[in-house]
Amino acid sequence: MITRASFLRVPLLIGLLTLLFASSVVAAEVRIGVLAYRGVEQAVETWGGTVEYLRRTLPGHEFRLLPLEFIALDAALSAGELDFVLTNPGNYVQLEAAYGISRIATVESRITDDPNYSIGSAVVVRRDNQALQELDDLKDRSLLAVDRGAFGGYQVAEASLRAAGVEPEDLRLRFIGFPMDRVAHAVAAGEADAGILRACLLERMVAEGQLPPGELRVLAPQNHYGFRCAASTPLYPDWPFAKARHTSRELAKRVTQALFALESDEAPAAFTGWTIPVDYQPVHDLFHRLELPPYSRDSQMTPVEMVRRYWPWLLGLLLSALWVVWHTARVEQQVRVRTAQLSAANEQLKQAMQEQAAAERVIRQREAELAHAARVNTVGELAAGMAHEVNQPLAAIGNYAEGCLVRLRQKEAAPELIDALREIDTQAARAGAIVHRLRSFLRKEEPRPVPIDLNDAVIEAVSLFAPEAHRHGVALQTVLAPSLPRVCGESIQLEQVVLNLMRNAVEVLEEAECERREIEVISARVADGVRVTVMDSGPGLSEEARQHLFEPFFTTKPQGMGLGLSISRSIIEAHGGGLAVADAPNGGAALEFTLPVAEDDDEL
Amino acid sequence: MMNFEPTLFVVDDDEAMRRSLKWLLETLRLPLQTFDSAEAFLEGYRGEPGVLILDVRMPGMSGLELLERLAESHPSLPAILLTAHGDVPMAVRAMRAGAFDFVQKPYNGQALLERVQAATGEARHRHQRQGERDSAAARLESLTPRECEVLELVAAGEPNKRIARELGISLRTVEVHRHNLMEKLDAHTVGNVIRLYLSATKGIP
Repeated sequence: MITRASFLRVPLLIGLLTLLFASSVVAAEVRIGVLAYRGVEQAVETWGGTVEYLRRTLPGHEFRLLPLEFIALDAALSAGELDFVLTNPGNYVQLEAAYGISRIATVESRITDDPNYSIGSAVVVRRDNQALQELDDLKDRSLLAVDRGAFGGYQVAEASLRAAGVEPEDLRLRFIGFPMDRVAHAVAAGEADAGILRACLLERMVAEGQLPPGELRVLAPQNHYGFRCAASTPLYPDWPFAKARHTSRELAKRVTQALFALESDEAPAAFTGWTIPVDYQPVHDLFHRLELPPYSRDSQMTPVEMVRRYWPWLLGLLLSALWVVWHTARVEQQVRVRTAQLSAANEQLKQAMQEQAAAERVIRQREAELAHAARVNTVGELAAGMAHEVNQPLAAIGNYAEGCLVRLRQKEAAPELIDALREIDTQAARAGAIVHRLRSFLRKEEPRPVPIDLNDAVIEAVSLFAPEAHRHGVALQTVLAPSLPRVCGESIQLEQVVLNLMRNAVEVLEEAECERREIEVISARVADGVRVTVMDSGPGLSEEARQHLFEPFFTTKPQGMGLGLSISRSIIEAHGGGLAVADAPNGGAALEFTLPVAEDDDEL
Repeated sequence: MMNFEPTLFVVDDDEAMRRSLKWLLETLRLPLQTFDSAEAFLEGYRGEPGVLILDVRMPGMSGLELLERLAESHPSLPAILLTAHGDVPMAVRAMRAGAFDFVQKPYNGQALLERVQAATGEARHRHQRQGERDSAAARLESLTPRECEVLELVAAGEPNKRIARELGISLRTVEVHRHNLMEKLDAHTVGNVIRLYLSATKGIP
């Protein structure tokens, strides 16, 4: 029943189909399996038109023709791969029993007037072989057929041979496989005495020029009314168009309607159209007689026999199922693994981010503490100047107060005293402001950058530093840009930087014992932000000083820790800016820093 | 010469200090001038008698530098230096530079007034002695060379006999010179003559 070649192809085919299925689940494809008894090309030529027609008529579906041989057709159906099946009546009866397919139409062939009588067998012999006249003449003769499962190509003939008293065991029977044309060629070439063809194939091959006319003749031709070919057997119904069990009634209905509507002029040469399905009972009877499935004695096969017979098929299925299971499991496993990896990575990332954030907080905290310590230190170093600065208003207050006392004792006019008292108030406020400035400079707070005007920081730093400059006889000047975009930062730390730069300048001037002692603090808008420059009238920086200027503990001064500029640079860099040495136009040194403009403040 | 009023010169770069010092020192009812720098004072000062009230710490020329400058040109101008509290080295330098006094800020206004009054007394005193020195010097100018020689020896405490021997003149001639120079110097006693001589020549009171 199954050829050797088919055996080997089965598992491969099933695997292939599984893959096809897996790759095309998305497309709403309607698959029509067709028995390719004369090969793929012939099948496409015969049925392609119908499929094309269906595609045109029912545009919502992608109809596809799958030309298959017996085994493949069976396997595809069992895998649920097919929505419709086009096959010979014998095969149909078997598939109907096995998979519950049901006919929805029967083809109307050009070879017959009645689709109930359309398929039969022609036993062909060479014309010159006059020894063979009746079917029983074939006893002990060599007989070729295409496949044990072929309907017109074998089974119908077998039944007639049996009826004529010729059992298959009486014949030298050989199945040579599809396409059926090979049988005709082999007989013509004298490779066997006779061959079984589906009726009409001989005529068609002659018409197609594949066989010279008169080369072969049909043995014991029977007379059939309305049938246009020679047949050695009775005739059976034509090919049905069947739906698979899973195919929806709705789709089947629409396909049926379309098939019935097919006009004969649209149909291909082989048939004229489709009609309501005919009665396939004669086929059932035939199979019953031949004891073929579903009526074979061994149709209730023992599992062992089934395994023996269908093992490549079962193996294919099993492999296919295993592949699906394995593939599904593998995909799931991969998904699980990747999900776990992702969430682990996510967790790690989160933790790393938290750690980094914590580390950054600690660093910022440390930097803020260091900056604060430096400010405390700075205030200590500025103490003399600060004391003087506080003393000035206090002394002035003392002067006014004593002056008032003296006048009161001398009974002088009161209006004069009012001015002096007002002055006292002013000077008290001045002293208070100094103390306040000092306190805020020494304030220790959480580093929290806010948008600030650098000019304010410069003014505050200059106010704080003025007494010190004064103490050293240094003239301190500011040249501020009239309006600046704001920068994001901590004002006290930036004040500290400006102050450090001024201190550095004063120390440079002190060191150099300059005649002219001037410091200029300039603020300006530049391309990459806001710049503050502190320029001195000193001799400029040596190459060595330039190189080491920002290193901690580098100092050219006997007093001072050399931390000021290093801390200043840390502060500026923490603010996203840069602190650098430049050349002052007057030959002195210029230290300047640039800060980026705050993101939401770039309107200037 | 008798009714002169010392002027108070206030030199401070801090405006509040200048104005408050003016307010306080005005109560002394003396002429008062303020300057915002040592340089400005040097430019405006014409040698008038008075008291200098001076901030030590100023940009440009400091109070000490001004003091050192004045020690040469105007030694008779008493100066009170205003210094920061606790600035002992500065106070020492100020006194060495010839400051009359120093006051540490913050100070008691009453105390400052007293110091300034003391300084004005000193100024008057110095001015008076300067006047005496000037008139003594003028009187010495009127002496003849021989009278000068006699005066030097008198001031050195030599008796007339020794002077006569020293100069190779007679005792009588010494007595005549001595009488004449006492007339010229308007000195009635030998003590007066000696004091006048010393004040004019050595600046010793």
